[in-house]
Amino acid sequence: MLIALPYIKRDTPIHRLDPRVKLLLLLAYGLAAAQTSNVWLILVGFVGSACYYALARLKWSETRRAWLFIIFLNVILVFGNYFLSGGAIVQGIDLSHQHQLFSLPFFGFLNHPPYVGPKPLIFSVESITYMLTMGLRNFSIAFLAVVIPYTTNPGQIGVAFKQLGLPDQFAYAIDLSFRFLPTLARDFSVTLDAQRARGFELDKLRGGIFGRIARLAPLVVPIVIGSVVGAEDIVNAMELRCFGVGRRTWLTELQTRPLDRLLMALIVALFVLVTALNILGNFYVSGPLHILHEQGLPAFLLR
Amino acid sequence: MVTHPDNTRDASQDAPPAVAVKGLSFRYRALDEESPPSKKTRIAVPDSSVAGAEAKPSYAIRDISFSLAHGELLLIAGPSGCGKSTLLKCLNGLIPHTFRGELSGEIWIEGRSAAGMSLRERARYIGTMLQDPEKQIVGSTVEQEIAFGLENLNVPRAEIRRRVDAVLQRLHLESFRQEATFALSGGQRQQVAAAGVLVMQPSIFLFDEPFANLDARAIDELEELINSLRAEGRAVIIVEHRVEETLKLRPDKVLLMRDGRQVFLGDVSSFLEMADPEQVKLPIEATLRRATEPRQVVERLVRPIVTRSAGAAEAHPAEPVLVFENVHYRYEADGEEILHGISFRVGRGETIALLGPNGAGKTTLVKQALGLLRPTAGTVLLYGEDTRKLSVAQLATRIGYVFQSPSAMLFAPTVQKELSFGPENLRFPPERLQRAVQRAAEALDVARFAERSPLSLSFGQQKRVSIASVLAMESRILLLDEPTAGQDYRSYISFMEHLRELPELDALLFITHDLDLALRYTQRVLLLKDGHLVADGAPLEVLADQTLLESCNLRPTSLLRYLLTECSRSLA
Amino acid sequence: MATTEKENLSEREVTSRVWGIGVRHIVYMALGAALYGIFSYFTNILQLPSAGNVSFRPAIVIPLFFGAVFGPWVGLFSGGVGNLLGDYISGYGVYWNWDVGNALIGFIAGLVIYFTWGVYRNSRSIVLAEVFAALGVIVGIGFASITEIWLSKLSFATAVVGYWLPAALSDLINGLILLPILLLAYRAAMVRFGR
Repeated sequence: MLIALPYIKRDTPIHRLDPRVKLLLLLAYGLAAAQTSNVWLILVGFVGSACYYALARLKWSETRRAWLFIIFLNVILVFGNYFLSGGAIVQGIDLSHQHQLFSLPFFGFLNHPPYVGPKPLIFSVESITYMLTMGLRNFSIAFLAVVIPYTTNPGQIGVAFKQLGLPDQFAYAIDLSFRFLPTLARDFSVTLDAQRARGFELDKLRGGIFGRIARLAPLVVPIVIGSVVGAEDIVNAMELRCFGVGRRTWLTELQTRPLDRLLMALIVALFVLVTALNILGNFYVSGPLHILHEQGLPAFLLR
Repeated sequence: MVTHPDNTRDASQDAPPAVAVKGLSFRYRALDEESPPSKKTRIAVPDSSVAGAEAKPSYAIRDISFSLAHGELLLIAGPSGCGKSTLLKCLNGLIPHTFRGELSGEIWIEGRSAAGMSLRERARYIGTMLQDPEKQIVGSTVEQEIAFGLENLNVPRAEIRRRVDAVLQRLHLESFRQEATFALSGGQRQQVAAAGVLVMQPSIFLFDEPFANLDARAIDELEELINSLRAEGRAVIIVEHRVEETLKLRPDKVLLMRDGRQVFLGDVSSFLEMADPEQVKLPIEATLRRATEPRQVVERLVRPIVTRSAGAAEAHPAEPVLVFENVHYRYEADGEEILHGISFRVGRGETIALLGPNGAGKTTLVKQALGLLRPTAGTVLLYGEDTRKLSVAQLATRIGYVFQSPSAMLFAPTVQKELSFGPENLRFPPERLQRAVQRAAEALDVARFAERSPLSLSFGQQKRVSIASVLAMESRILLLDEPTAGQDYRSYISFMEHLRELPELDALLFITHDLDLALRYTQRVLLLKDGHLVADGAPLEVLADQTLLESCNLRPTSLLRYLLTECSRSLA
Repeated sequence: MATTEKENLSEREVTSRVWGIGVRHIVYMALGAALYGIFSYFTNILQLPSAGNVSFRPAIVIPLFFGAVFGPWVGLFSGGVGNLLGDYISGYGVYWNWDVGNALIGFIAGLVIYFTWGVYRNSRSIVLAEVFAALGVIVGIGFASITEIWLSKLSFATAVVGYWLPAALSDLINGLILLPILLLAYRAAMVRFGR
C-alpha cells in the first residue's frame, strides 16, 4: 500500500502562487466571512472562490473523495443545525422579526423540564436564507482549502512556514514528517500483511466497541514502537551532520513574485476593511456602513 | 595544522596520522531505576543483544589503540556485542556528545585532540555512514538529502548548489537529483547517503556494516567508491562482521575485537592465520587452511536441512504440497505485470531457497501462496486446493510466513500471548491452542521468556519468537523471508542450525539473496529474475552458471567457487 | 546518587526537561506528526469499521502517546501538524481551527511529564497520563467545536451535538484504550535498550 500525495503537477496560476498566499487567503477569508451573514457578500465570496478554484483546473475525478466528504459533512451540519435549533438559526443579524412562511411539528430543546419535547420547526424567509448563506460560506471556504493540497508541492511547505517566521527546527520538522510518510505507509502495509498472515482480520474484529479498539493493538503497536525505536538512528544521523548547531540555510527558496506580494497586500487590506466595517456597523443602525450586520434581503420577499 | 607534541611518536611519518587512538575505554553510564530520564541524553547498552538493564554495565570498550594514515583502510571486525559500534561512536563524537558515560584515553584526529571537539568541528574531519542508509537519509529528494549537512552549517546557497552539483556528478547521480529518496533501490540509496556525507568533504570515512543487504552490483559500486576515497588520500574505517566481502578491498590493517577488547591488530595475512572462522565469516580458503581435513569441513558446512523424515516422505511420495501453475500477477488491471507465468511444485520434505535480485518479484510470488495477493491468471494449489477459494486466515493454518523484521509483527504484552494470537484468531479449541503454543515455544527455545514482553528481547530472540508465533498456527509449510538479515555470523549459524531441529514440517522455503545460505542449507534453488523463473534445480547446478549469476546480480562467494572447483576436480 | 540527582534538580533544570527542545524532540515531532497523518489517512481510506455513530479514529492515540512520552511541545506538534498532514494527504484541504484543537490535545496530554518524566513504570503514572489525555481531548475538541460556532455560524447545540460530543467521545474511547497499551509496549521496548 503506497501513499499517493494529492499534489498534481500542473502549470496553472494557482500552482504558481506562493504557498503563503494560499494559506493567507484561506485564513483571511475564513475570518472575514465569519464576520457577516449578508447573503450578497457571501455570494460574492462564493463566486470569487469558485473562480479561484476553477483557475486551478482540478478535475472532479481527482478531487472526488474530498468533495464527497465535504458535501456529506455540510449537509449533515447545515440541516442538522436547522433541525436542532428548531429553525431559529439566525445569529448576528439585526432583525426586528422574522417573516414566517410555515411551520412543521417537530421535536426540540425546551427551556423547562423535561427539556426535550414537541416543538414546532419554523420556516421563515430569514432562516431559509440564513441556511443558504451558511452553505455558501462553508463551500466557499472549502474551495480555498481543497485547492491547497492539490496545487502545492509538499517540498515547499516547510520552507513556507520557515519564511512565515517559524524557527528553523520546527519548519524542518514539517519537511521531515513528509519524508517519513512513505516509509510509514510501507511499514503499515507490511504489518497489516504480517498480521493477516496470522489470521488477523481487520474487517471482522470481535467484541464490542471497546474490545474492537483494543484488538487494533496488533496493528498499532508494531508500527508506532518500531518507528519510535528506529528514530534513534535518525537522531544520530542528523546530529552527525550538524543538525541543530545554529542557523541553517534552506536550499529551496520560495520565489515571491511582485504578483504574490500584491495579492498578499490586497488580502490583508480586504480583511482589514471587512473588520473595520464590522466594528463601524455597531455604531450605525442603517446605511452602507451597516451592511455586514444585515441579511440584505430585498423588500419584496419580506411582505 | 597544529601538531601536538604527544603525537610525534609515529616517527615514520612526517604528517600526523589521520586518526590515532590511544588506550581508549568507555563505559556507559550506570542505570538506576530511580533516575529521572534525561531528555537530552540517551543511555544505551552497547549492543542490542546484551539485553539486561539490571546488570551493572561494564566497559563497552577497553584499552583500544591504533593509528591510521591517510589513504589507509582499517577493518574493525568482531561479533555483535564486541564493542565495534561503541568504538565507532567514540570516533564520530556521538560519544560523549549524545551518549553519556565514562570515557578515558585519547583520540587524535588530523593531529588535533578530539577531547572538547564539538560535533560540528568533528564533522569537518569525519563522515559516518550508518548501517541502514534508509535511516540515514533525512531528505525527501536526492538533492535535499545531499544538501542537508551544508544547510545545517549555514553555508551560502550558491556554495551548496556548487558542491551538490560536484558530488552528483562524481557519483553519476545527476539524473536522480529530483527523485524521491524513498523510491530509490537499496544500492542507489547507499550511494545517495554516501553523497550526503561526501559533500561535507571529511578526510576520514567511517562505514558501519556497509555490505548488509546489498546485491552484487551495489557492492561493486560501493567498493569503487571506497577505493576512490582512498586514492584521494582519505582514511577509511569499516566496521563489519562479513570479513569475506571487506577483504576484497585489501585493508591495510585489521582490528579484531572481542568483549570490548582488542584481540588483534595487524595486516590481513596474519589476521587470517589467527582469526576464528566460528566467530567471523572468513573466506573458505582461510577456514580450510586451518583444518587438518578439508573434506570433513566441507561436509560439515554443506548439509541441507531435511524437513521430513524419509519414512514419512515415502508415505505420499508423489503428492506435492504446493503447486504454482502458470501464475501471472499485476497489481492493477492496467498496471505492469510483475509475475509472468511462474510454475513449480514443492514436494514433501523439501528445503528450497528462492533466490533473486531485489525487485525480482520474490515477495510478490510468496504472497500468492499466502492469499495476501491473488494471481491474476493461473492457479496456486496448496495441498491440492485452489488458494483462491480460501481466505487468508484459512490459508494460515497450512502455510506460515515469517517476515524479515520481527518488529513488524510483535505487539503482545507477553511472549505467551504473542504465540497465542494466531491460534486464537483461527479459533483453535483451548486444548489444541495450549498444545500448539507449547510445542512452538519449545521448538524455538523461547519457553523461558514466556512471561516477558517480546519487545524487550534481543533481535535474535525476537526472531525466534516471530517464528514460534507462526509455527503455533500448526502450519506445515514455513516461508522465511531473509532469515539471516540483521544477525552476525555466529548467531546466523546457530539460528540456521536451530531450524534443523524444528518439528516435522512438510516444506521449508527461504527467500534470500545469500548464496552461502542456499548452498549450505537447501536442496533446491529457485532463481527468479524480472518476474520469470529462470532456473530450478540443485543449488550447485543452478549456481554453476556464471553468466546466469551475473545477469541476476548475484556475486559468487568463495564457498561457491571452492565447491565448483572441487566438483570439476572430482569429475576429472 | 541517581535519587539525589532528582532531588537536586533545580527549578531551571525541571523547566528545561519539560520544555527544552533538542534534536531528539525535532525527530519525534516529525515522526509523531507523520504517524498521526498516516493513521488518519488510512482511517479515511480504509473506512475502518465503525460502531453506530462513533467513528473509529484510533489515530488520536498518537498525539496523546507522543505528548505523554516526549513532552508538551512534541505533543503539540504531533497533534497540530499531524492533523494538518492527515487532511492534507487525504486531499481534504486545510482547516486551521481543527489543527489548533488537535495541537491543544497533544499539548495538554504532554503536560503530564511534569509528574511522570515520561516514564511509565507503574499504574499511577499511567493513570495520570490517561487523566491528562482525557483533559486534552475534551479541551482540544471543545476548542475546535466552539470556533465552529463563530466560523460557520452553527448554533451552540449543533456545535455540541454535531461536533463536540461525537468527536470527543470517539477520541476518548479510542485514546484511553490504546494509550496504556502503547505506553506499556514502549516501556518494554526501552528495557531492551537499557533505558
